[in-house]
This record gives sequence, structure tokens and C-alpha cells, in this order.
Amino acid sequence: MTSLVNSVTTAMAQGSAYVTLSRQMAVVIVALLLLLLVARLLTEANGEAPLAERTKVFNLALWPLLVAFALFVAGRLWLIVRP
Amino acid sequence: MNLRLGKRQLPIIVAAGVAVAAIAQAEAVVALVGATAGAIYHGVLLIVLLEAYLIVDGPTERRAAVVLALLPLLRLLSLTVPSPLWPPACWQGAIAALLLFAAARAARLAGVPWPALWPGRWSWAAEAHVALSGVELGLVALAVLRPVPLAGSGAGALTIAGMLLLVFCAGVVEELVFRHLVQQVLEECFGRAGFAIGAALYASTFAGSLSPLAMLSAGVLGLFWGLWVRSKGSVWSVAAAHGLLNVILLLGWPQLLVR
Repeated sequence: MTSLVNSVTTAMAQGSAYVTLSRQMAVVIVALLLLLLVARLLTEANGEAPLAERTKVFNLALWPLLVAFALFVAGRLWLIVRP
Repeated sequence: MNLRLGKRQLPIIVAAGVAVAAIAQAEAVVALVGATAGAIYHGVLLIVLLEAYLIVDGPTERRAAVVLALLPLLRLLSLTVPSPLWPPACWQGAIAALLLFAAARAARLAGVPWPALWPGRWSWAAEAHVALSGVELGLVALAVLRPVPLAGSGAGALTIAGMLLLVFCAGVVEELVFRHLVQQVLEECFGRAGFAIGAALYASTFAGSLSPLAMLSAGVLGLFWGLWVRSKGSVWSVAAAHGLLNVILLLGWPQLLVR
């Protein structure tokens, strides 16, 4: 029993609508990564929190999402180039 | 029930309550509206909670913000990582590894130490009993929920041992996040009700299963495991129980052995 993968995510990856849904998801994730970077810069400009702390907080989400997105792109590319 | 709140307590309860409700609502959006809409909702929550960690003053509020940010991140990872390229057991392992990285960083920022390996109040025998209850729970859940075993899809690409390990570790990471980190900050915010609110939040993350029975089961298990950890039991024993339950429920382990 796990909350990590559920019917929605399984249907997304295995169903016929994968390409359409994954394209939308790609846009959402790229936008989110950009927003996280912008949010970090804006907070940095305000100078309210030390730089090291801001970097630690945003990297908490940035790195896992970047790796997930890289896996996602690899999956999409494989679907395009596979024989 | 005494609802009189001090000047400092009310904002924490309100803010944490709004955050918990928003996370549960975002889970409902993923299940009922769509994955893209749910991902947008979770993305907004993630940014708001990370910003909140930097902006708010109190240590409790900061701890709650950074730990609760793990839940939108969990769902965003689970909507991004699954791909037809890899078997589903690999999805579990990849999401669990990425979530563990984020949980370790969140725990450090929140000042929450890793759970002790040595049992707290209870004996090793009691801890072992709880850990092994995952086998019984898995068999009951297998009979009631009847999921499609992951072993049937893409099993050729992975050894059985590899799948067992990945799925077991996914359960362990979930317990470290929900019963160790999330429960601890919710108990700081809501007091004794924290573990029950944590169980409800855990159940809400099963909305994507589109099965009320699975949500109910997750809620009951969350209550039982949360109560055990709250009564000074070890997180590691419930983590082992969850891992064993995953192995039986998701891989259909008994069927796997018969083949």
C-alpha cells in the first residue's frame, strides 16, 4: 500500500492518453522549476534570509524535481526513438 | 474539550490547518479533476510552503512549513516519474529515493533528528511483532483490495529481488515522512490530535487510488501506526511493517512464489 504511485499516475503512464497528459505535465513542471528559481531570486533580492538558507530550502525541491524531469524526458525520448 | 487558545497558539493552528486542508484538497483535485490541474495546485502549494519557511518567525511554524512542503513534492514526483520506459516497481524506487533526499534536507532544516534505531518504551519483541504485522495486514489488504500485482507488468526487466527491495524501501520512506516528520510537526501544531490529523492527511494521499476502501484502509493504518509511534514505539518497526505490506500487496508476493 503506497501513496507514491496510484491509479491516476499509473493510468497516466500506461494509458493511451500518456503523450497528451505528459506534454501538459512537462509544461507544468518546467513552469514550476522556473517559478522556484524566480522565487529564490526574489527572496534573495529582499535580503530577508541568509543566502545559504534560501539555497538549502529551494534546493530541497529543485533537485528532486530536476531529476524527475530528466527521467521524464528520457521516457518521452525513448517513446519517440524506440524501434 | 478546552478550545481556549493562547495568543500565540491560534495562528499556528489556523495556518497549519489551512495548509493541511489545502494539501488534502490538492489530492482531491488530482483524483477528481485531473493530473495537470492537481499538479498546478500542488506546485503553488510547494512554493507557498517553501516561501513560508523563509518568511515566518516562530520555529514551530518554520518546521511545519518545510516538512509539509514534502507532500506537494511527493505528488509532483509521482506525477512526473512514472513512464512506460520502466516497470512500476522502478517508479516506486525512484520516487522514494528522491523523496528521501528531500526529507533528509527538510529534517535538517527543521532540526528534527533521525529516529533512534533502539526501541523507546517497548521491547524488541513488541517492535518485532508490529514489524511482522505487515505480513498479516498485507494478506488482508490483498484479499480485500485485490490490486493488480506490479509483478505482472514489466517483471522481465527486473529481478524479483530487485522489485522486492524497491517496493519495501518505498514503504520505509513513506513512514519516515508521514509518521516521523509530518506527525511530529502536526503534534507540535495541534497537540494530541496531531497524529489523527496526520492519519487523515495520509488517507487523503490515497485519493488518487480512486478507491474509498483504499483511503479508509490507509486512514485506519495511519491511525494505528501513528498511535504506535506516539506511544514511544519505534518508527522503524512501522516502516518495516509498511514495507512488508507493500511487498505482499503490490507485488502479489504469494502468487509470485507459486508461479
